[in-house]
Amino acid sequence: MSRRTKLDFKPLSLGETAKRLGVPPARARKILALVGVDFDGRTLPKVRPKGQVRTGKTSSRRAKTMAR
Amino acid sequence: MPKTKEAVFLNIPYDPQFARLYLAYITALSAIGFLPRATLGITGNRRLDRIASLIESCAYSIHDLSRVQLDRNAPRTPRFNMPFELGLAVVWSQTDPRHKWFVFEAVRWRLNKSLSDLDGTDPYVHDGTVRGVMREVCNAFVSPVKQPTVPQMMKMYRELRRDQARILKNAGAQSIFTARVFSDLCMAAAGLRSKHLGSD
Repeated sequence: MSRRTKLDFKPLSLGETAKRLGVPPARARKILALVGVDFDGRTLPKVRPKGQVRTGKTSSRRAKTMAR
Repeated sequence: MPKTKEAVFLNIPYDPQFARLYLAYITALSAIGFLPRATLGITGNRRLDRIASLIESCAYSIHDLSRVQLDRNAPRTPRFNMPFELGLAVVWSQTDPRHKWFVFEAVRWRLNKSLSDLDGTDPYVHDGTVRGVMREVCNAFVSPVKQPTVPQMMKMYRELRRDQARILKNAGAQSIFTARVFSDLCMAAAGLRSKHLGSD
């Protein structure tokens, strides 16, 4: 006899998971953002850490190089 | 409480020495597609009724009997909660055969000594390691959609472990063994399943 149990359900959506766990939508959204996904399971773009400001200097230099 | 196919009752010790395996179970079960449930947050004189009701609401239950040692605080005793809740699940499965229970252990053959009433039941032996928990959860269950691999589960585990501090901070909690942190960790693990295995 197999020791493996085949499951016959589909995993819940993230919205339904939050509901069943009793996690309010705003809190669930925050937790999902922490792991890098949204409610639809889409991967969120990585957020640049605070203090790391993009100056545009590099890109303009690159633009000049490309223009030559 | 209505019975749900996705719900799995997680019967494990709640102590800091078990923290890594606690996260491993949450990760592995979420990766398979389960919704983990635990007795965290259940207090008061109706606790036993609520535990029984929680077991009855879950289609599956996992009982980790690896913590058989005496605790450090006087008077030193072993923890009887896990075998007791296993007993409740066994009785419930005789009433409702749809309920399936699984025993996990860290040491091979130890169950024959610690709980010989279960002779004939093969426990899933995880060796007390995170990877072992992942392996044995995969040995116990076949996912309804996409079976995760152990390396995928380990990746999810590492990310969950990394995010654990932020989850604790947001909950204003010191311990991961609280009801809110448990549900937040399960939510995060479900998000990681979507991220690494797709939302199916």
